[in-house]
Amino acid sequence: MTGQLGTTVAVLEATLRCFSVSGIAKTTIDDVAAASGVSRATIYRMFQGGRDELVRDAVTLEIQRFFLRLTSAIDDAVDFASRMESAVHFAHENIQNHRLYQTMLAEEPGVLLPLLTTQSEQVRDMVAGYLAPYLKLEQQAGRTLSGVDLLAASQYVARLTISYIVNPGRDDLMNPDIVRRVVRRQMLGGILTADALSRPGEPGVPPESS
Amino acid sequence: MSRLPSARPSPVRPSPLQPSPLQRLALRVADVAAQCSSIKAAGSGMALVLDASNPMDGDPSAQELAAVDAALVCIARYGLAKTTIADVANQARISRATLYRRFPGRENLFQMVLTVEYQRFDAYVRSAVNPAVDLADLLAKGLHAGVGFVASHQALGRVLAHEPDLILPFLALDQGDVVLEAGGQPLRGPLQAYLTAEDAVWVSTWIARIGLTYLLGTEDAKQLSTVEQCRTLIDAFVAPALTDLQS
Repeated sequence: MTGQLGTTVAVLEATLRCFSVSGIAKTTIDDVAAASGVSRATIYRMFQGGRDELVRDAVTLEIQRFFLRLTSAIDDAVDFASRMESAVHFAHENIQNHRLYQTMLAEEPGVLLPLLTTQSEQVRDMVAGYLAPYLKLEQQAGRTLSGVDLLAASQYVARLTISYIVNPGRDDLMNPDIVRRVVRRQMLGGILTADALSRPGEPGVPPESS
Repeated sequence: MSRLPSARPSPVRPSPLQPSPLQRLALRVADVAAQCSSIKAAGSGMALVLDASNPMDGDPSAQELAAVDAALVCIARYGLAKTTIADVANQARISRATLYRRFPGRENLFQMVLTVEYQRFDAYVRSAVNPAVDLADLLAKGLHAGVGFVASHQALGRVLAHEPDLILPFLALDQGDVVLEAGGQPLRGPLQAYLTAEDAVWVSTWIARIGLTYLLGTEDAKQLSTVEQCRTLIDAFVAPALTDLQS
């Protein structure tokens, strides 16, 4: 990657490296400049909101990567409902072991939590955008309930997915029966037909392979 | 050099918040207020207070209610960290001595505030779903009432907007279940007209989860500001998942 975008990503990656070395609170723009080889002046030009914006964008990048890893981990699921079950399970298991996430929760919850709670629109749109093509495939295969609004449905599923990743509450997401209820009733019960929810189907082919 | 804590000088008061403080939430949420130890105590007391299996002994007295309502006004105006017993006494027109006798520390007062407000939330949601004509109606009315109560709560809005560190642990950390369970609690009894007691528990928590995700978005709560909007959501994504469970 070259040009402005490549430089921006390089700076954000350097920022994430600094986070894991010195923690978030102690990471300065100078540290990031040294780690990325990009000058302070350039960094300030790229992130006009200063350090706050840099931190927020770096964390957003890491969230996007988390979801990318998640999507590649569930590619072999046979249909959408199974895919979502794998996703919920994978996300729950991996968030516990995600060092930066846990560090941020402990050190700077004020930076991370808004991105996953109060400012979650950006993350939600990203997740919904990922889900929509799969729902479309289910619809084309006649496996969605009649009258389902796919846009609203993907937003709703994304909303619940993020909520469950951030806060499972008392639901034990390591328990397959609980995950089954969460996914097949709470997330998809109003979207897929009873048949699609109870039997594996064909449209599990990832759209990116077509 | 250590200094003894001195009486708080009377500062210039910020003007009261606009009516919809939750909308400011996302803008100010990173602006984390400095915490003091008594606030942390109040925060951890929240888990206890919100635990519905831990009811208050007896109803609060008229004076306690007056103190709670005065505290809510002060919190909405100055925030939790800056509200003192003296502020509340002034607002409630109760003598400081009387108030200190009943609430030796601010955390005692804040726990009473949480308890009373949670009881009001519970009563508000329960009355909103009574009567309900069917399960979907009950869920829509319950979702609408719960979201409406929280979204229009000025003191809570102030804390969320300016002192989010006090609230966020209840939304995402190991205490994240507290708010979900407490939010769903008022629906559990009414839901048993349609569902088994076991199903009523997770369905009520599900509704609270949906409501919470809308409450945390900047403008999201507006999407659930009428019963009809809530009914559309329930009909689309919740009711179809429950048809085979109804008794």
